[in-house]
Amino acid sequence: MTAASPLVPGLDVMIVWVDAPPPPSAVEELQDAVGRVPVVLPLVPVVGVRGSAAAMARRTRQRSRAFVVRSSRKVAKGLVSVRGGTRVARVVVRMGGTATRRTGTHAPVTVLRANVPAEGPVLIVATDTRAASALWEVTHDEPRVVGVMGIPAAARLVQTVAAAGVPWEEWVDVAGDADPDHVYTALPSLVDGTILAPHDLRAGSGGPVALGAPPKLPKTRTPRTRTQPSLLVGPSNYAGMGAAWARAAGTHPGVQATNMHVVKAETPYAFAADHPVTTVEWPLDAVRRRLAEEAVGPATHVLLESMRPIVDAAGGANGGWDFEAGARDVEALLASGRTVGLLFHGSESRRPARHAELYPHSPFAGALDKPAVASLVKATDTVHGLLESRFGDLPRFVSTPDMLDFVPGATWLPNVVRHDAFDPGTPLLSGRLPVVLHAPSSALMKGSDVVDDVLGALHKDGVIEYRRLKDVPPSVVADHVRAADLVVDQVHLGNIGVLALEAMACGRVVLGHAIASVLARYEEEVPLVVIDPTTLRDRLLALLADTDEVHALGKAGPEFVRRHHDGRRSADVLAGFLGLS
Amino acid sequence: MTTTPGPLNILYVAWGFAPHRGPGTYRALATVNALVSEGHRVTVLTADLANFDVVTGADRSLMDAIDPAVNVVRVGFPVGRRDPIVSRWDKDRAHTPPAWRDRMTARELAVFPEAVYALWKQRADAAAYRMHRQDPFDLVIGTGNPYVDFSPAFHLGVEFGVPFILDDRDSWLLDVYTGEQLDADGPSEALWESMQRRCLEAWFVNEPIADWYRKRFPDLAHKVRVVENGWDGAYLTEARGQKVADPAAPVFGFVGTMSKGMPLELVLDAWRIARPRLGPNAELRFYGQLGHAGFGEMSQVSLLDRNKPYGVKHLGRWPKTEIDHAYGQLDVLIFAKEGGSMVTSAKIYEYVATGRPIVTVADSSVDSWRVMRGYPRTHQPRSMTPKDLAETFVAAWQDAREADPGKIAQALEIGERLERRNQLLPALRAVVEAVRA
Repeated sequence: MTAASPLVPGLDVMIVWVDAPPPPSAVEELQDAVGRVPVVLPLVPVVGVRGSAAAMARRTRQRSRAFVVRSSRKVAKGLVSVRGGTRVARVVVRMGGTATRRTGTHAPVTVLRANVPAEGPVLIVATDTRAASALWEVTHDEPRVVGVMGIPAAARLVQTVAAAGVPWEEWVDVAGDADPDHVYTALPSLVDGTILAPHDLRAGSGGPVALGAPPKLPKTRTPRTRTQPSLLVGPSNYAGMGAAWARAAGTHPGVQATNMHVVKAETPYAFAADHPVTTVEWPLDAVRRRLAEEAVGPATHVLLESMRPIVDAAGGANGGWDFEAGARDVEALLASGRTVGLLFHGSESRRPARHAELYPHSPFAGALDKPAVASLVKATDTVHGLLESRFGDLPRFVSTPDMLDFVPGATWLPNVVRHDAFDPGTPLLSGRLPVVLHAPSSALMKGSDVVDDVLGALHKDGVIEYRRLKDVPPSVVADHVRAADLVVDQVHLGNIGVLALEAMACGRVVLGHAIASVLARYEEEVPLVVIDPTTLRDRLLALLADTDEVHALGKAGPEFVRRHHDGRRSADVLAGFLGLS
Repeated sequence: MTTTPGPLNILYVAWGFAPHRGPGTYRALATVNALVSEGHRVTVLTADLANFDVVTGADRSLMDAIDPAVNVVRVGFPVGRRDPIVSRWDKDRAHTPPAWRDRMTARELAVFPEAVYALWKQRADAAAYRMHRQDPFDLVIGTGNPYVDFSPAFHLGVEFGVPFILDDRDSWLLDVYTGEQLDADGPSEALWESMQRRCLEAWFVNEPIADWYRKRFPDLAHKVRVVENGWDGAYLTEARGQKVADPAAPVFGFVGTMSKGMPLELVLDAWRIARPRLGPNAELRFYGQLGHAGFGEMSQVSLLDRNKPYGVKHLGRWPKTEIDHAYGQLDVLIFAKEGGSMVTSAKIYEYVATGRPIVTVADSSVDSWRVMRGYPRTHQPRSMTPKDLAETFVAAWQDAREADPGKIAQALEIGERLERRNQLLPALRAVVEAVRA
């Protein structure tokens, strides 16, 4: 027999356990919350006759796993007194079939299935993990059964749904949503039919946004003409470059520039952005609608990064890295009257096979069929296919000079370092041992296994102090860089990334791989110690033996970075895109 | 010197803000209310309501305590491992809980070095960036725990140069109960050091914790400030005075969360010894939930149940808004606390504010003694044995019955100084002045 809850009419409530029988006070708590007596059901009955119902009840209270099922024909009942002598909870186990004739235990899920009410909504509360495991099986068979772990949480859930005035069945539909947050974020606001609470800024600065309306890109607004362009950069913002380029463009008089960033919800790497949104919120129509209004709305020019979608205007994107959806957004932006440029950072467009041709120590050489590389092959093929088949006429940019070999016809839009990146670090070689830092964003791309081997051995030999960072937030990396003497950036990729530039900017000596044709694009000497996997050790030791060279490189770095990467060169490039030059 | 006399625009980051009912909520409430009373504009960045309503437990009445001038922004908290709705769990969680937990921990720690709360980081940071862009902040205060609250403060500081305060309260790096450092040389320490290096000030609740930080990071010692807790004037009013004791019905009581380490068994053993001398109607009441998460140890439940025949009553979690009523019922307070010199307990401020006799069941090194210094109605057992503690119960009851007006006045005067607002305002004003300068 089950108890109906007056707080949620028609709802049957049960408590199930395997290892942890509910304490009487907890049963009372649930009873008080839902208004009626819950059924308490132990999921591991011990088969066999052990005395009267009263004796069973005593055993149930005293030994958590002791319960009795007499036979398949007879329903065994135990009464649990949880309030002194008052009978407030009733334990009923019904078992069918021949299994109960045997001495032994039944799987908890079997017991539970045999006792779930045949119809109507049911709330079942597990008090321990084994009971929860059985409960999970049942809830997946029966959507009308809602399972909750823990009596306090169950009480709160019933009260919250009731307080929201939401019919239980309607809430159960929401609970079945695949979005792990939806059930919670929706709860307080289901009443007024909105998905976002009034002060929820996930979608922007305004109030609630109606459900179910996909984003629509507004047409370009006058009077933002060619002489008063407004730029939006997004959505990748890798290494914070989207924001940096926006700041650079904004240095032109009359130009407004912002960036948007769809950032992975689970990453230590995050950078400031004007319109930040996480991948958890981005799929929500309401969020993308707000982005379309606030971020895209004022823009006359959009620099779309990595062929990723910004608002998925056409709908149907398979996440924020769906290049096809990105291409659809490009078309929608063009159709809305905006000027669109395409910006490529690297991994989405650096074709592994081409890299293996150009770089003798390429990590992709002979590895094109390995899963990690194969996925890059697929992604870059998709991006290049879209680029050439649909956007051959659009201006295209790359963020590092090596990428000019991968994106034909592209213009180099230099990366920009932060203004405080030029704050000097500790005096070079002033510690007991030279400090060598390696802080890869991707161990595969940077060749970290080689770096770890070489520098780890030198550390062990007492030649250097090797500091290896992993998953450290960028805002902290800068402190580590300033405290190092040398930074090993990468050994086989061939680019000069943002970390290398920031290290140079604060006077560190940077070791990294690059080929001559790429370095020549700077049209001056680059203060980079060029290495590859085979030369890292010898070149490092030679460098440490020549302190004059170390100091000369350290001195050259800041000026070099200032000339190319303080934002001025990037602003010039963007001026062309914005029609200012 | 003040150069910009206008109000500051302040962001206060507190995952655990009202209606969260954890102990840190009251400091957060008092801080933001004090700031708006000083004329500043304050925005609180906190977790969504449903997280508190369903997952952790909420006390909606606390929302009435938020000054209407405070702008509260709620950003959804990914419930992750705390999701109680079994129907929504993935198969791994249901079938291999330990392995699932390990993977979950790895996911969390990859984002921020704090399990459970780490996955709020990106959302909170994003909201902070967005708000700052719309209406730039002059100051950010992050209050931990959870320590993910420091993230938006730190990042606005790094990215935009906004001055920020780390209100570290009970310390990220220390187990204050043992004095041991947690995660030594680990990511949380490295991150903390970077944060402290960039912050305007780092606040702690007592001198022993602050001292540890001064010694651990000597070059940053000048940033460390002690901002003590206190009792909240909004919740404690009528109980601040003498209750006329009914000689036939003494009521003893403990108010607060009953943590796992609390010497409950000792208190109950002593109570059974003392009760015959206190009378057949003597009651020992416990106002508070079992354990910080509200899930008590079975041993605690069982102990309380077994002692019901001796006038022991567990009234469960007690709303802060009704705390005045709870204290008002009690003749003698029992302060039972585990821990050592770094543990003060926020409750001791309330205890002292009531002016009631207090039986102290705590190690002599506990920092709470400092708060009680000079308090004339403290009763300490000669030893932590049931027999000696029972004697102390009897002595405290005698004190309650005698109700010496001089002692009561002195007790209340000491309590008066410890009101939270009085503890907070000097620190807040100093910070505002530093920002303006």
